[in-house]
Amino acid sequence: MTVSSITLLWIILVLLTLLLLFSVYLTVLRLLEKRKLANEKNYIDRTKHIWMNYLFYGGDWDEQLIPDGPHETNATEKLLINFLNSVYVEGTRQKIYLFANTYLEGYYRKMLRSPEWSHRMNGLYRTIDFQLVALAESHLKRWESKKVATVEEDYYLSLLKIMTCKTTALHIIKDDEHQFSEHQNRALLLKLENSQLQDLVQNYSFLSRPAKLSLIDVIGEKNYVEYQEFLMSQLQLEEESEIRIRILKAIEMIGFYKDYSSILPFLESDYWEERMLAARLIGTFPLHESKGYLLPLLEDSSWWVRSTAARSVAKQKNGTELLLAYKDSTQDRFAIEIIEEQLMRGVFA
Amino acid sequence: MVGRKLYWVDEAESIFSLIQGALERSKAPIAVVFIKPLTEEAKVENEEVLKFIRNSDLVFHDPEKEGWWAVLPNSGKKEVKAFLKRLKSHFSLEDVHAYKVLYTEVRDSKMSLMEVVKIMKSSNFDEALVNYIEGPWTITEKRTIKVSLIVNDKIVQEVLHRSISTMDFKNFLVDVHLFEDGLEFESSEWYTSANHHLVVLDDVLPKKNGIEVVHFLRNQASHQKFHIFMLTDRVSEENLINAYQMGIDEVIHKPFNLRLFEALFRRTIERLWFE
Repeated sequence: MTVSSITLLWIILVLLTLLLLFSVYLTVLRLLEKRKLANEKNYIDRTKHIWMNYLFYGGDWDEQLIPDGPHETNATEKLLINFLNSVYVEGTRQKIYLFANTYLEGYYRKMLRSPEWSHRMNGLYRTIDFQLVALAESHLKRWESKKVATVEEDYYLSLLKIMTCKTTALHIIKDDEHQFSEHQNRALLLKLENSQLQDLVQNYSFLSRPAKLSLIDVIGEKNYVEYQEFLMSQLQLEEESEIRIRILKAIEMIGFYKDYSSILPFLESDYWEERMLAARLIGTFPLHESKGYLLPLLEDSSWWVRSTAARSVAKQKNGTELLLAYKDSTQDRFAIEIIEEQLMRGVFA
Repeated sequence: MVGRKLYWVDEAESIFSLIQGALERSKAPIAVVFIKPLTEEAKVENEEVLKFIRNSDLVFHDPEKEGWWAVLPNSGKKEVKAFLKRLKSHFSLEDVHAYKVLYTEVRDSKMSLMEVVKIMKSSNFDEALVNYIEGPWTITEKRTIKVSLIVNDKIVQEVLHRSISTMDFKNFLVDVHLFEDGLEFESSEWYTSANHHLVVLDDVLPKKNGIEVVHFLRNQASHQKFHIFMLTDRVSEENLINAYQMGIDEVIHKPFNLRLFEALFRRTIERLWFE
């Protein structure tokens, strides 16, 4: 044999050994995973009826519920989060919080102390889910002087501060230091009372863009009719199309507006979304008032606008007849097409 | 139109059995009422009775010629009371002792009319002017209501199953089946049969989601028998509107109060009994 053949054989041998070691490693991991799942399943099968009795049917506390080891703790966590998110009776949440404070706090304390960001985040989620106030306070104390790694961690630390009454959602939204996303701002805004929203509305121009968008969405979602004038006035002032679109959506969600004159200019907007939303809003007024604005939109360049206009006309009394008459009088093939589409939709409704 | 002639009891028997055919599907019993005039003023001509009666009601002579009988479909005690009030008003009867009335609710689809008439007239009733007569036709076997739980989470499914299984209903038996997903439910054929059927399902399910199952059920023949509860964590009004437009009867937002669910469930079932 030549020297190069021996080398080749050695290389193959080493690779095979590595492959074997890797296979053993994967097998061991898989076995450990299976054992973990089996332990979790065992705990759940053993205790789920006891949990149900205890949480929903006035059953007595049973020490079998106390988890033994990390696998059972995981299983308990899954079970309790499930209950918190799905179903409860009076007293369920308090029992879960009490249990977590007594038997799970140590587990989450370790997670919050982990140098791994993902472990700390999981710890934060559960601290909030289970309302572990004492743990939250001690964690906040530890993190007072530390630098927060990510916006998400900053957000959850803010939630901890709200939970321990160190601050309020209102204060956090107004604070420029936090760069929360729209979704995070929205979650904070949903915690506010109407009177607190008033404060934000008055200071609207000082809010960050995500906070503005969230505020508009929340006003619409909660049907705060009293902010309609604010929305209408902002509609005229806003320079950014996305914000104007959100305002139009919020006005639609509130569902009540006295007159549409401020919305009319948006029927000729350069943005199809604005034209579409304006058509939808004007479509809620009686046909004898709105047809003059809606019918020309049947010839709009955007399918969405044409479709919205057709639908708004069709759903009103005599709307179908009006569409048929328009179809006979127009030369625009897109208008004819959209009217036919709308009429078919009506047949199969 | 049934109410255009005063029949004899044997003629009325065949019409009565046709009306009884609908008992299986409808929730409502058939009221059989005997009107026995006690004063001269209360004795009215057949034509007058026919003018008073509704088109859907059946009237026939008493075999012993003591008065006349009315068969009121889809009617129970409350409807009979309203009927008697109308009778008094129609014939302008001031005297409270104008009629002796016997009435009953027939819930048995196989009972003969002649048998009902015979038993009612021979039963012991008191001096009261209006008597409700009970007989073997007023009580039926408990009706079976089907319940399907198509809930993704096994634990929540068990909680609901347990709650429903422990409920007791006076007039119904509840038969609960559990399904893992929409596809399993549709393949099972459990949804066929004429029984009323309550379906509790998640909006998000593996293989076939809740919305698809709703579409499927609402496209079935006799889809009115399905009463659909949807569990969801999407709370927007838009989603609510869409859900109701699609044919869902109750939207239940998660997390939900189990006691509230039980009360809603019980109320839904109790409404199926006509009283």
